[in-house]
Amino acid sequence: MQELSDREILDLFAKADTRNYAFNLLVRQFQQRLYWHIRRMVIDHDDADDLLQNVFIKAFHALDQFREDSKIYTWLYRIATNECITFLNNKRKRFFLPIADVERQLSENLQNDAYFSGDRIQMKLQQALLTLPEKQRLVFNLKYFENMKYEDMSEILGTSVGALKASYHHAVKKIEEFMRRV
Amino acid sequence: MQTDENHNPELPGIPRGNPFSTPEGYFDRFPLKMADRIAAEKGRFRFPFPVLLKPVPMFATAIVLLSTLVVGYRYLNTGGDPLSEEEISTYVYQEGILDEFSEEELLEYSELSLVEPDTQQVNHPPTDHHGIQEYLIESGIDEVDIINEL
Repeated sequence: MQELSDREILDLFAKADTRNYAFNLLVRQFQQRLYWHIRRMVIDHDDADDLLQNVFIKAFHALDQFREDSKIYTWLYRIATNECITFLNNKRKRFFLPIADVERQLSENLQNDAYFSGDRIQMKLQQALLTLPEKQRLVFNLKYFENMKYEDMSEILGTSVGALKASYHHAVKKIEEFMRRV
Repeated sequence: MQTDENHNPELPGIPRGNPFSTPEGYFDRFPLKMADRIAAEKGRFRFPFPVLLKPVPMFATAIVLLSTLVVGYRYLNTGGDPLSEEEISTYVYQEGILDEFSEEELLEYSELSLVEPDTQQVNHPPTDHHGIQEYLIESGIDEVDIINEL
């Protein structure tokens, strides 16, 4: 599928007769990257599916007011990241769970997940990731799996490039430690 | 200069591949699912000023509305400022209303207007010197006029 530029998508979206078409192209263009980003954070496919729909619904209602001071893709990632954080916070609040218990629950979901096709080492890596603080996990996922630029990450997470590099470095050290220990 | 890649040390022996998968055809169906959701969203009422759903703006709006209601109610209840005696006299004179009534009717009205509604007793105008003075003062007539009158 040929990818459209941000301007092309926005121009099509601005016209009433091509609005739905533009949105359909937007969904097709970004659905996979956003899905994997969300899935790595919430682990479960059904949760990821719900959150991905919420992301696009929010984007649909806000795309009119989109100011082009950022790229559409970093803007969508920001919405998706906020959705993930809100989802995980709500999960904690709903069941009065401390952070560690939510991560333990996610780890159990991972072991029973029909849509996890990784090997033993990949499973261990995911379990190691679930021991990290949320922000470190986000940074690690974006860098390690998506090879995203720190500048783009900075736009998405609202953190300086220096802090992101430090965060990634800490995450790698903790994962190495976990892999050695477990 | 260090590049981003230099800050991306590989974890030895761990493949970078994606270990997750989705149900078959998920990404083919997803755009259709979104189209359905958007169609359903369009039919649903959305509050036109979402910012007002936040607590602080909602509270501020409630106060403004309440103040407007209270001020409006008080204004409507008073019916505006009452006319002064002078304005009434001018109006009656200009409109020639006095000509529409006979002398007896006017006298009868002037006696009725002096009756206190609760007691139905007639307040006779004062006839003594002191009483007239007090009456004129209460009526707000200028002191010089009172002296001239006396």
